[in-house]
Amino acid sequence: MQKHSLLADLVDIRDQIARDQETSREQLQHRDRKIGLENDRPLSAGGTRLRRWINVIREQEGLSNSQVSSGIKAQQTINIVITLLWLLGAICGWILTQAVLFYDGNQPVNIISALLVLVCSQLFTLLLLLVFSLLGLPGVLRSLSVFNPAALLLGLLKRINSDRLEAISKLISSTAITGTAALRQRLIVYLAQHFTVALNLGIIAALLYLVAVSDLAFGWNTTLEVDTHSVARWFEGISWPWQSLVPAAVPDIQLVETSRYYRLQGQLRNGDWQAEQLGSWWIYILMCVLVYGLLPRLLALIISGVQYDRAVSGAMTSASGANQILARMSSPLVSTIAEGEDDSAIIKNVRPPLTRRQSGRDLPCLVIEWSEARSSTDKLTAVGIEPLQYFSAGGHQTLAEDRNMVVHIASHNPQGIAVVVKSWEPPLLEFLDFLRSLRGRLDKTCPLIVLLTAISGEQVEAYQLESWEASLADLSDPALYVEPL
Amino acid sequence: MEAQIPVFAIVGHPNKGKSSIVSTLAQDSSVSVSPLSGTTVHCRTYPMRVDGKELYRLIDTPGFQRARAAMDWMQRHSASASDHVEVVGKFVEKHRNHQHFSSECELLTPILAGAGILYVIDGSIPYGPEYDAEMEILRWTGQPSMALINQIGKAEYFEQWQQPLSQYFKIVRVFNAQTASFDRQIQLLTGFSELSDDWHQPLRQAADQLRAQRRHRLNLSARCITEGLVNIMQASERSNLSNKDDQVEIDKSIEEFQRKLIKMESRMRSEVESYFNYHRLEREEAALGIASEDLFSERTWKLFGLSRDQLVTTGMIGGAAGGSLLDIGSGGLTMFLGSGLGAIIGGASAWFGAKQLIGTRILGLPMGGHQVVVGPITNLNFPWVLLGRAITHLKLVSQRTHAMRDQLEITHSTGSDIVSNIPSAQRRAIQRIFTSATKGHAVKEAELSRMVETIVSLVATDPDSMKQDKSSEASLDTI
Ligand SMILES: Nc1nc2c(ncn2[C@@H]2O[C@H](COP(=O)(O)OP(=O)(O)OP(=O)(O)O)[C@@H](O)[C@H]2O)c(=O)[nH]1
Ligand SMILES: [Mg+2]
Repeated sequence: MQKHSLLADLVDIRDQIARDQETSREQLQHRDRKIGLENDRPLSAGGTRLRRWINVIREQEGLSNSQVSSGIKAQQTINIVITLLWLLGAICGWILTQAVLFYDGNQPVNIISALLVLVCSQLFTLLLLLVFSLLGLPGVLRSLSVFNPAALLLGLLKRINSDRLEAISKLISSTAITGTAALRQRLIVYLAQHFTVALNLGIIAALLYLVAVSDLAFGWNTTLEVDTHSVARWFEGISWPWQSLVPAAVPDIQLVETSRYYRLQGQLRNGDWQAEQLGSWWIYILMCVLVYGLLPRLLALIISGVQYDRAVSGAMTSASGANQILARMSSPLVSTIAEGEDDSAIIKNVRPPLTRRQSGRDLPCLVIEWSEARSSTDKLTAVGIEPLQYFSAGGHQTLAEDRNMVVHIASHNPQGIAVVVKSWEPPLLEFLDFLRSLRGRLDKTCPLIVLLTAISGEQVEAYQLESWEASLADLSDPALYVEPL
Repeated sequence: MEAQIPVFAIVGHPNKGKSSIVSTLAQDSSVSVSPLSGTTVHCRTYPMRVDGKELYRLIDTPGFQRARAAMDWMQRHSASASDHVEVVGKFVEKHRNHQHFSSECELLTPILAGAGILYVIDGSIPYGPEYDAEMEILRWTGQPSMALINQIGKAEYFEQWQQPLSQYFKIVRVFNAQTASFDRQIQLLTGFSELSDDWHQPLRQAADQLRAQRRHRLNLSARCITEGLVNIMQASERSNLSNKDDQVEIDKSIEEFQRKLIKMESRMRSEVESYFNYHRLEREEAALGIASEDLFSERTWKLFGLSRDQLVTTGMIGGAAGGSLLDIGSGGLTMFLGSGLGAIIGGASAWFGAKQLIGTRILGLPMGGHQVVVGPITNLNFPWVLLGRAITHLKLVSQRTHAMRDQLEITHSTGSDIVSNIPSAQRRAIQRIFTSATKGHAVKEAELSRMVETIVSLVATDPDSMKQDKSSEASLDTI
């Protein structure tokens, strides 16, 4: 599996999360759980798991389209920026050193201003960075970024090539959940350290170059009344870190004394130029740049690199949606829903509805109570039916008993038949069979009245009547009626 | 392997809620359920799978249509009690390809293949002789069985059913398809293991997985709410103005902004619903009308949000409220004056009046022209109202069963006191998130997780649902 930088992974993770918005949750669950089962170690850190995840996704996607992911593009852009910063830093260092150490043989290079420009200014900005990051004043730091070469370069590049930087600027544009404000800061600080390390290397290179191809003379002067001894102690104090390592780079009192000069006299205190001796300051300057310039900046580069990495990892796990990915990978895919299509008969075939019975004088009927549905003479007469005789069918009767009863009834040549059924029970095909067998034995015009009884104390509900009517319409019997009792 | 997993055929008389029970247990709203009988015409399988491995399956079946005739055939073809299973098999074989006994063949096939029988009746209507043939046929199959008393209507004929059911079934359980709580569902599921010792282990495993899935869903939902609220609190809308005093244009962008928030909230709702397998749930909820007087009446604020005292104790009217007091000062002053002293004293609604809710700024552009920036919302109670609404919705969705097909109604009364009951330490932590979000600051993952936990605990330990559980357990004991 190909390994990409943290930043590339972060950008791609964000991208993928955005793309996933268009995918159904089920698909995402399947995909991520599969990745989780095959690649995930749930105990490892969230960032590590997300990186493994994006690697698998990239592989899967990569099979279909071989274009470079925007994360990789973003990392490439950052690499370009870093390269540019190195070049820029080295050139600046070189030019700066050439300017500061300019010596045409007339006046020695002022060693104090050389140290101020080449070393102290750097220490100062480093100190600022340290103080503000310790105090946690990102706002101040951000406003200072006007002076930050990395921020300037990013701003400049944005104008030149917006496409490349899109991924980064998207990343950097802060929203509260994603915590990218911190990331942006860390990125810029980290990039700036590349510049300054290069700057120091440029300074050192230029110094060595000047030492190699020209003769340099250093001196110091002051208007104040100072004792040369205390100045020497200063110089010595500064060189304390390398005192025992490079004794040659520790200026002795004699050198300090010889190096003091007065411009009015245009010459050194001791009168004669001792060029060789004055030149030996360069080692001292070199050590100063190494110890107070390069070394702290290398440290800063390492530390800010670590912090930047940490910010990227942090942004990875706090990206909105990241948590869901981890959850999808680690939680089992539980599925309970149906397999296959639903073919329920919600919409029944529409038959012509049953006709209504003409209300008129009482109709003498034989009454069949289906499956122990109970009726009473009062109720029957109330709906215009005069019960002649009661029979039972359905329920505990056997099919043979039902058949015999039908034959028996038919032999009476009835004027009408009322079948009492329970309104709360649905009409079954079995009942339709029974009605069919009845009709088979009766005259086509003999009224067959299905009466719905309600549970005692209740009323027949409209939906019950409807459902009975709908079912019985299947018989297409013009003399079949359904009524509530 | 296949033979070992528990399979349950849900059978019974037509229209007794077989499909409803399956719908609830399988958490599947796609199951057709209707007040007309004969809805289910073919068996449908609901496998329970964990990472592709099947733990059990439910089979929804059509109801008996010609039980008496089938029994009649079987009795005629049986020589003695010892050949019952065989005769049922013969019956299915003989009639499989005929229309006449199609329901009976459909429902008997899985049983003959080894499925356990869950016989569903409706306890809200009386027992009658039409059930006997069905139960007798089921007994003939010789498969382990259990009766489930569903309750479609309000009446209770449980006593009356007791005697006939106990004749055919060793185990009788009450299970209300529509109102069964999650715990009841799990209880029922693990109860199925009484049918066969071999099923104990897979069903226990399945129950554990379903519980884990529920926790997972609650977590995902709570996170969706948390992140959604942060996004809403950050939201703002910019649009260019041709004239910086054009009130019509400004009002238009305020409206645009409102629509955006409403959409964000509604997307949050759908996401929460989809976690619980509801994909086309109809929802009835007062829209998030920021300028609508009703939603932002004092009453609503109290029901869903925090009271003014609570706002104070949550530390908002301390430093954080400085900015919003200014808002009231600038835009609200005329309103204060206009509405008179009574409104100032009595009306919290004046405090939280409609337009003062949204920070609206007019910016000059460097290239000339003006821009109006609507939002983010600075009102302190607004996110709490949102949170109250969201938690109410989550609660309803998580307690709903898939057998319920009516629309989800989120009423004011259902949401009362939700956020006011959040312990004050957690309330302050949540307020910090809201404050950072409004200011556009980063919110730490740890803080978000804590809010997620708070929401989950609010929804998971719901006193109402615990009460309901107790009562249904009690009625179970009586059976
Ligand atoms: N109130 C209430 N209604 C229920 C309950 N269970 C089922 N119903 C209703 O009863 C009717 C029938 O439910 P279904 O689940 O379709 O019944 P079924 O047994 O599958 O019916 P068929 O497939 O036709 O045999 C539907 O209108 C359901 O909404 C319940 O527990 N409470
Ligand atoms: Mg059904």
